[in-house]
Amino acid sequence: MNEKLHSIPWDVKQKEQSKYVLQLFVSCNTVYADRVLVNVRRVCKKPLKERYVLEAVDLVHSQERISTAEMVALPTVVTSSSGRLRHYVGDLSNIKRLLNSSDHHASTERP
Amino acid sequence: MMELDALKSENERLRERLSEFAQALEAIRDGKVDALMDGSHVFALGNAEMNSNNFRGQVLEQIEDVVVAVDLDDRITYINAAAEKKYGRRASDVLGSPLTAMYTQLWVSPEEEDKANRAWARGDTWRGEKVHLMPSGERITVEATVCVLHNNDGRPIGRLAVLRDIGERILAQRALEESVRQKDHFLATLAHELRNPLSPIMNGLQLLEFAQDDPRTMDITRAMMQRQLDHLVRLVDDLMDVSRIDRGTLELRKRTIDLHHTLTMAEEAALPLIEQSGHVLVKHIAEQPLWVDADTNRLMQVISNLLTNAAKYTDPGGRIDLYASAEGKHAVVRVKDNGIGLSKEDHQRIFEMFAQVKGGPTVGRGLGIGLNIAQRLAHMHNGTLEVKSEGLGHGSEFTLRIPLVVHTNSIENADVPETDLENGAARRILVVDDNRDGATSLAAILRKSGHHVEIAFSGEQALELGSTLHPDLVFMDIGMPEMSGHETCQRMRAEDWGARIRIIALSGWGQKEDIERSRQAGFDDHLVKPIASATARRLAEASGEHAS
Repeated sequence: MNEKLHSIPWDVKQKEQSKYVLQLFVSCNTVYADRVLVNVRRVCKKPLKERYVLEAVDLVHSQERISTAEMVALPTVVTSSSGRLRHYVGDLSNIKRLLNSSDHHASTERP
Repeated sequence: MMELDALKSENERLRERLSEFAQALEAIRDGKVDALMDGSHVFALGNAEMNSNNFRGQVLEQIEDVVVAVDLDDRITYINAAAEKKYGRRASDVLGSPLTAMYTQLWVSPEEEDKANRAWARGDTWRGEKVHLMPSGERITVEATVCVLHNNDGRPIGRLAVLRDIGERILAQRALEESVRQKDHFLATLAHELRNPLSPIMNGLQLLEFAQDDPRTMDITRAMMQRQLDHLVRLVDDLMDVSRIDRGTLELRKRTIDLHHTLTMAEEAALPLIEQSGHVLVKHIAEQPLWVDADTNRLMQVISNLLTNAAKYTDPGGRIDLYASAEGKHAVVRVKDNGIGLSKEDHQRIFEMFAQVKGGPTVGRGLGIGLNIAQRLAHMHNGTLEVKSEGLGHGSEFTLRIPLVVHTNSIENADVPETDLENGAARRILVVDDNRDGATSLAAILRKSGHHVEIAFSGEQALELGSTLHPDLVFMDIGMPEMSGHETCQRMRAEDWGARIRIIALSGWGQKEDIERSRQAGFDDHLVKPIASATARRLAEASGEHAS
């Protein structure tokens, strides 16, 4: 399973560009999906400056992306570090966890 | 050892997953998710708040105005579909980003900014105009309605803006203001231009009264009054032409004609002004005939307008060149002067309605509609009228192009030049007009050409006189009290003597319907007053052929 994860494209991108790749999986344009985008950008802006990439994926319209991410509910933000995926479910109104995790990533993955 | 590390790592991973699941369950319980995943299936969840949010969301998505919400740090928290389209950014790309990711807002004035801030501090809505500077550099003017957003506790959490691009409305408004300005300017010019010839005519009337035993003064005065009157008639004719062209009721009486004759007529019309200004007119006219399908009078109007303009906008003692030749498939007439020329912007707008160029004469400039009419007449002849100038002080050159036609049989030039009227046969003519001055002056002109003329001041009198005179030709006013010209004409046609004679209507009205009504009443022709004496004499000449 890990091997499979190693091959996912955002992980590759992260290494090449030394940027954090955050993936947001949503179902259509819902109020929650919008709220998550706002929250994620608000959180990441300061510690990560421009060193992150946020990709929003609408699973209703991109079904082929479902299998790789091991999700139970939407919206979910997925980050990846050393081939390991971390999931954050909900609208991320409690954002501390992501911030801590990002800080951690930021310090460990800086080129 | 390796195995133990692997187990530890796997254990840690499982613990993380478990913690993630616990958090996911918490989020689901708190209603912070809107779909559940089961393998590759997505199950949308619904609750009352979500449904209501979705409904509001759909309403905002569907309205055509741009809707943008920001938080207290001016970060974008919502944009609708119209905003995505207008600013070319997708919601997923800009949500959470500063507003400047979409546009930079510029206040129209510091006062307006103060006003908005005060309104928001009170929790009120601000309405006004703003300029948005797009990332592309484009500026758009929007009408904005911006209110403060509150959370459930009543604390402000941001602002919601509804925006409408009013660029087109502003352009339309400016165009409207410009046309109102032009109209005002035109009315002022019109009043001025109409008044100009009136004062010398009024002076002339007084002069005629005092100078009754001074034939020389009377001659000079009469000639002056005639010139001023002609000018006045020309102004009114121009106005009527504009109205007719605008309403599409101007009809061309096209025939195959040789342009040479038209050129002569135009030259004759413009010559007095050219000579008066001390200009020299140099002609370069090809000898071969230039056959075109045209309305001679209208084409004459175009060319004389060009010549008159050249005379007006050239300092006294200038030179005007008139060229006419065949160039390819067109007959080309050029009028070139060494006058004041045209600036670049005048170049662009000289054919516009009410255009007046800088410089030139301060009086007698006209209404600024002559060239507009000339160009439209050229177009109605499938031709073009263009201008060229090297700039102010370098003269102008107008070029008229009319398609040449193949002249198969040698039709006699339909516009027979005015014959020497004194040589024509004398006609019996009846002039009918309740306006005694009108009747007697027209009669006097016709009598001078040697015709026998009787005058009737009413329809009844006309019928009575007609039965004894047996006229060849009748000039009849339409608007008479008691018996109108239409009725008089119908009755005349019913008489033996009146059935085949030529009856011409004289009217102040020259619209298509007026002409049609005259035709139905039995008139052979419909002339709009005042008629030139030359026209009256020419009609008198022609009437003999008609009656015989």
